Amino acid sequence: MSTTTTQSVAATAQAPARRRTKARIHPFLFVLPSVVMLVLLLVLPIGQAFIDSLRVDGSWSFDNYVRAIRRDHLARIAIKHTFIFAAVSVAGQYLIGFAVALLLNERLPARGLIRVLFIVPWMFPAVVPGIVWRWMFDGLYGVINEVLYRIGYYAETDPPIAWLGQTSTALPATIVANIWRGFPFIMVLLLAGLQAVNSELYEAAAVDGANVWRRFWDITLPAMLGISYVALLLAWIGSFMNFAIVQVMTAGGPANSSEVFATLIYKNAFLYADANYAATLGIILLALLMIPGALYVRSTLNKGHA
Amino acid sequence: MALKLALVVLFLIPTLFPMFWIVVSSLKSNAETHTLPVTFLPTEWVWENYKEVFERRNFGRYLFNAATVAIATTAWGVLVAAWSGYGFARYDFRFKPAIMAFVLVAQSFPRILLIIPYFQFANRFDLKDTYIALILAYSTFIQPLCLWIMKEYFEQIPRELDEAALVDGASPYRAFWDIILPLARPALGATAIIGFLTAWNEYEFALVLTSTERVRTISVAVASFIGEFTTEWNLVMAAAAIATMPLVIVFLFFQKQLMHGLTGGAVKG
Repeated sequence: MSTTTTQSVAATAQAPARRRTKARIHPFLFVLPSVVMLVLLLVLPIGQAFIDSLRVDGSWSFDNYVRAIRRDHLARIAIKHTFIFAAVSVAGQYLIGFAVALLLNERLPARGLIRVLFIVPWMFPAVVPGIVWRWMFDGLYGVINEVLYRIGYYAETDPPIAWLGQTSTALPATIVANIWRGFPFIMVLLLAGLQAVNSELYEAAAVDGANVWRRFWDITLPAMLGISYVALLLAWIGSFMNFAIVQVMTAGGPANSSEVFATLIYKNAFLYADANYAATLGIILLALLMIPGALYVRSTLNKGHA
Repeated sequence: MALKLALVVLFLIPTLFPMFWIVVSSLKSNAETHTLPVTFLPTEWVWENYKEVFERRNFGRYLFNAATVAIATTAWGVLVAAWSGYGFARYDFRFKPAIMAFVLVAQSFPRILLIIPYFQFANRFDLKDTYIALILAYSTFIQPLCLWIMKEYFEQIPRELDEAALVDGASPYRAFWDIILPLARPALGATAIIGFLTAWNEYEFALVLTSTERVRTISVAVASFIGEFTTEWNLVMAAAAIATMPLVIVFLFFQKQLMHGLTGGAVKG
């Protein structure tokens, strides 16, 4: 890496100034297609949504924002659920992902195959995790109830648990599905981090008589801080804006008990036909995502310059 | 070692069970999915469920739609990302740091926010229920990540290679197309997979921007299946299996590129 940098620095220095001025059209033509796409199909739509969010009955107003923040009971519930959904999901994905990554970093027979098997949840199309977990959590014929019944969690006379049909368990059920879906991504990132840790450190520590915990605490954890930070940010962003899993499993119900921001936006836009208010909620969601987004940008750019 | 393997199995069971359950449920008869106690293997293996999904629900069409959109998204999105990624890798110009920062932050834009203006645009420009609307949307979504991966990869290719071509009298476009692009095959593979998976998996835009089976993709078809047929879980599961099959194939063949691509280049393939 360092040689490439030196080479490119040297090449830039050698490039005569006159060619650089003559060639000013080239960089423009190269970056144009992508920039045009990003502006027309990303910047412009967001601008449009922002303008929409400021329109109430044909005039300019902040009323949609006031409504979202101060008056809309549902928005407050949805934001709370979104934070719970993201926080519990990220914690679960990270802990399971880390545990599995540590396991896969050990000497194991058929490690390649085992790794592929652990990535299975990740390869389903976005709607399928929601669908299969909805079926597994089914209150009448769901396999989860069946397993709980067989291990003696409840008796035959007890009513089966309607996981997705009661307000107390709907959101936790969607979180379980989301953890299942998302942990392989974290696992892959963390495994790459583990494999980059200098194995001589472990050997030296073993020679010094450090036990497994000490080695984990003093070598593994510090070495994993950087990659963990990125993994947690990406997992948070992914869970925070999740739509497919919740929409397919509960569509936010019952009685909004699993309503997250994305499903609420969808409802406002396409069921309540209130596009301007949906755009307002969308802009708020965007603003909330810009905090982890900015942290991610900073960490990635810093890494690039290091 | 035994302990480690036991732990692996302990974690693998819940990881793989949903896949197992899709397959098992998809092969049960409808009556058996509504029987207690729940059986863990079909008592009667009903392979006709798959035939029924194709014949009664026209799933061939949805597969064709999803493949068309995914392939076009991949081709167009990757071409643009490579072309522009080269520009970002090789030239310095005003606003470049700002654009690159935007490209990174754009990865955390919530798509659900974009749905509303896209829906309005599609209506205004008569693009509802067209492939082109989905292809444009998806190739835009993959742009930030793919552009970033391509740029990072081009930056690792020594500049001497382009310089030599330029000295030989080639235009920068020739140098890019003939010399550099063939060297960037791993990055092209990674971005191509991102494009394909994004387009194949996407749900919410296809849901909103299509209304007939002419363009509707398999994800939407599977999800809407639930609503219509909550009582026919065996068919829903067969549909889910069909939608997943192409991904399994892509997955097994391109595992390396996939790791590299889906982790945004954080894991070197």
